[in-house]
Amino acid sequence: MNFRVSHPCKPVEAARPGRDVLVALAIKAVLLSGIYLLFFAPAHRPPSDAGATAEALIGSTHSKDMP
Amino acid sequence: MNSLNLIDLSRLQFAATAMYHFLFVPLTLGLSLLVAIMESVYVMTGRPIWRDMTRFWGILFGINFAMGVATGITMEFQFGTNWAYYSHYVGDIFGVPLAIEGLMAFFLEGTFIGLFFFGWDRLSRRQHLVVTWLVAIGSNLSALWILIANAWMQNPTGAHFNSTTMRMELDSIRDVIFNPVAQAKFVHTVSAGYVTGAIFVLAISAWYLLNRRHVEFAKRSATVAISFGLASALSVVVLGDESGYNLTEHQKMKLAVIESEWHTEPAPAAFEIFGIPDTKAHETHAQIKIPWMLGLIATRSSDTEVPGIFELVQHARQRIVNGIPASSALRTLRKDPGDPVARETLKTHAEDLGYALLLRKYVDDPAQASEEQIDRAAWDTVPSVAPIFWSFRVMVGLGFFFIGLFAVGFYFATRRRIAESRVFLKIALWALPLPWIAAELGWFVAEHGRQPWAIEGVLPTFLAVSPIPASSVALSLAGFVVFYSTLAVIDVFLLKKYVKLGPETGSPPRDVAAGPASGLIPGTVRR
Repeated sequence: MNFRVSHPCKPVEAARPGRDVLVALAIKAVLLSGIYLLFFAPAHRPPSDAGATAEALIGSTHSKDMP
Repeated sequence: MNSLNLIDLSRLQFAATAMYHFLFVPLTLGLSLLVAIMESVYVMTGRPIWRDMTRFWGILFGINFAMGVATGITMEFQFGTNWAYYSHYVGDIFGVPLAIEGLMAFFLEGTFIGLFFFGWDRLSRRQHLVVTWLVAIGSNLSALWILIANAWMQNPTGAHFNSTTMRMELDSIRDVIFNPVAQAKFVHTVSAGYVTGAIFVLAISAWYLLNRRHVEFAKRSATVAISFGLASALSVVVLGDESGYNLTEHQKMKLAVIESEWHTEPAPAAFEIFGIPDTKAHETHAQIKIPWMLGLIATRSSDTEVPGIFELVQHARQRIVNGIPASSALRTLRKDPGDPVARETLKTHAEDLGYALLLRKYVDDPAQASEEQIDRAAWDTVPSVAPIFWSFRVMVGLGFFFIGLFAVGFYFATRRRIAESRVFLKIALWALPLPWIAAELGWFVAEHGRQPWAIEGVLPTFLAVSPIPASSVALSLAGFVVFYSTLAVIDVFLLKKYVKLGPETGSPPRDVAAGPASGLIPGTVRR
C-alpha cells in the first residue's frame, strides 16, 4: 500500500500505514484463528437438533417419530 | 438445567465481545460519511486542502476499519458453541439478515475500501468520489442488517413456532426487515456513529489547533465535524425518542425499568430525571420528576398510561399461567406428533409458550409449578433496575452535552473564531472518549433491558445456553480479552502515530480531464 503521511520531523517514507495495517491484520488473523481452533471449532459444539433442543427447552421425553 | 455460572459466563463473554466490537463500529460509520463529505467538497471545489483532508481522515478510517473488521465474527463463533439452542431455535430467522449483511453489505464495503485506498492513481475524481460514497453506504448497510437481526430479538415478528422442528420459522421477510424496532434502532444507532465520527475529527482537529499545527487543515476539519456533528446529535435525540415510543409498544417492562416506575401513574406520567432505585423495597428514593414528560414522550398522548413494574409483573404472571398448557401440549406432541388435542392447545396458547418456559428455572415440568414458583418466574421478567436507570440517564445526558458542544462550536465556527477559542478546544479534545461511553451505555440499556429474554417473550436466555463446561467458556473469555485488548492497543497506537505525523498537505491538484493524477502520497509536495 503506498499511501503515506508526512511528519515535520520524519521523512515521508518513514510513515507506512499500509505496512502497519498488514502487520496488525496478520496478528489479528493469528489470534482469531487460535481462538477459533482452541474453543469454537465444530468439535466443541454441542448437538443442537430438534431432539436436543426440545430436551433443553421443555425437558421433553423421547419419541421414535420425532427428529 | 444449565448452572447459573455457565449462563453468566456465556452472557459475559457475549457482552464483552459485542462491546469491544462496538468500539470500532461507530467510528467506521461516522468517519466513512465524513470522508465522503470532504471528498465531495474537493470534487466540487477542486481545492487541494479538501483532498488532503479526505486522505488524512481516510487513513485513520482505514486503520480503524482494518482493526475492526472481523471482530464481530467472534459473536458468530459463540452462536454455534455457547448458544446452540438459541441457534437452533431462531437461527432460521436470525441468520437471514446476518447472511445478507455478509454477502451484500460487507463485500460492498470491503471491495470499495480497496478501491478507495488504491484507486487514487487509477480513477478520475468523480469515480473515486463514487467509490468513497459506496464505502460509506456499505458501512451503513452493514449496520442496517445487523440491527434488523438485533431488532428481531427485541420484537420477534413475521415468524411462527414449529413443534416438529423445534424452530421458529419465517413467515414474512418483509415483516422482519420492516420491523418498526429495526427502523428506529438503525437510524438511532447510525446517528450515534456519526456523532462519534464528528467528535473524533473535532477532538483531533482541536489538538492540532491547540498545538498550532496544520491550522488551516484543522480549522476546516473542525468546521465540517461541528456542522455534521450538530445535525447528527440532534438526530440522535429525535430518533432516540422514536426508540422510546417503540418500547411503549413492544417492550413495556424495559421502559418501566428505564424509568424506575414501580407502579402505574395516572396519565400523563412524569419523567424522572433523578432517583435512587431500591430494588429490595421496590421503590425509588429522592425522585426529581418533570410532570407529564414521560407520558408525552412514551405514548404521544396525554391520556394514555405508562404501565408500572408491578402491573407488568402481574401481566407476565398471567401469561405464564396461560403458557403452561402450551408447554404441556408441546411435551405431548414431542411424544405423539399426531395428537390433535395437543396440537390445538399449542396453537391456542403458543403466544405464551415462552412465558411458561421461564418456569424451567425452578421446575422440570412447568405444569408442576407451585404458585410461589410462578410468582418468582413473573418477577424474573424484571431486569436490574438501578444499572439500567442510570445507564440511560448518563447516555441521555451525554447526548445533550454533544448538542451543546457542537452548538457552541458552531457559534465559533460561523464567526471564524474556532482557532482562538482555547477553552472550547480543550473541552472538545477531552470529549473524545464520551461518544463511545454513550454508545456502550445505549447498548447496555437495550440488551440488559431485554433480560431475562434472549428473544423477547419467546426464548428465555437461560434456556438458550449450551451445556458446555463453564471452564471452557471462562478460558475462551480470557482468550477474547487478550485478543481484543491486543487489537485495542494496536488500534490506539496506530491512530496516535498517524495523528502525530499529521496530514500530508499541499499535494498538487489533479487534472480531471487528464484522468488519474498524482499517487496517493508519492509525488505529492509538502507545504
